[in-house]
Amino acid sequence: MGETVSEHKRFDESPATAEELQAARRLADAVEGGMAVAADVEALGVARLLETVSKPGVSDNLAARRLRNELTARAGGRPRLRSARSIVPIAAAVAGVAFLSVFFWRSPARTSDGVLAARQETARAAVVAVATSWAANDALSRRLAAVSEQQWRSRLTTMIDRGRFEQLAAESAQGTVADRAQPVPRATLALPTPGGTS
Amino acid sequence: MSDDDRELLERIQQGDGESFGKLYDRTRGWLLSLVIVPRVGRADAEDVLAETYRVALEKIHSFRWQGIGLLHWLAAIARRKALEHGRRRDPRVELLEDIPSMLDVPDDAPTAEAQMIREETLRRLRERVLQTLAALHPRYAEALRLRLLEGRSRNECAETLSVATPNFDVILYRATRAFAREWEKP
Repeated sequence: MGETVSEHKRFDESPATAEELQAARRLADAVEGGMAVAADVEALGVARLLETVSKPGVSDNLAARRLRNELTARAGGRPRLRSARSIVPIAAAVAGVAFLSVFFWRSPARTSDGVLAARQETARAAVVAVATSWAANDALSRRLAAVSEQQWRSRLTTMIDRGRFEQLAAESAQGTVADRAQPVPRATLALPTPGGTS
Repeated sequence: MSDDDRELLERIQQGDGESFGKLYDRTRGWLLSLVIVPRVGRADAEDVLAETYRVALEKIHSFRWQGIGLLHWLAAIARRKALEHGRRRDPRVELLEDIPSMLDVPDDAPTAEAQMIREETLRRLRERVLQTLAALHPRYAEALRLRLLEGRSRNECAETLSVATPNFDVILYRATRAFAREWEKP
């Protein structure tokens, strides 16, 4: 018994073999969270056993509180992130409904009386609005044209009158006023005498 | 299965978030120390635990009493999640199930009594681990204590033992082998 205990208490200072180095490295990786099964099962079992009886650290307590808060919030029905797996069918359903809505809206099969009447009424109102607008525009155009013509005539008359006025003014200054405007001298006029003797 | 457990489930199914928090408080220690850490180690344990509870939360509304309590139901999820986690790292993870299990979850709901049993189980286990460590060479015991019980980094452990990090890895490996031989002694 004493020999066995001393054997277990012996510290092996011999150089590590290549296999031992590899096994040591794999165990180290497994404890770090790496490839667990690549490690020696017996050594890994001991590592897991000791980790099991170890006391949780401060970081574990923080993680525990965070997880608890998240879980109670989700269980209480507060807004939460859904997993992608549960979102996919919902998104597909929404997309399907949207597609069908567009499809039926454009489809001639969608001709229920109410919808048809509503669409007819809308179309009629649109036509009336356009016709009213055209009529109003036509009247306005005619008024504008009349005003424009009157103004143009007035302006033309003014231009003619001004031209004639300037011509007359010039002739008057030169003494060559047109005959019709020139006064006939009274001496040249054969005026009938009283009693009929001329 | 206790009435308390059943009431807790009903409240959770009615959307009482705090009741799920209570279930978490009652079962977290069990799942971590007796199911998850022995299978995936402490480094990945929190991730697997979180996955376990998220799955449980999604499925608890369809949970029906069928002769097993909530703790066993959660433990089954945790085992499956630990296995999936291991497979992502190595497809031969089933080998880990060969590790002798003295840590099985008791067939009971997570009541206060079950909690006492768990703590007593862990206390005895811890005591036996310490006895085994005491029987090892002090450098082996120190390597195991620093790295696995206290969770210190490899570099920190190597520095404490005044060796290079790769040498510490070898010491730790030899220490686990020595521990296993000492542990198997009657």
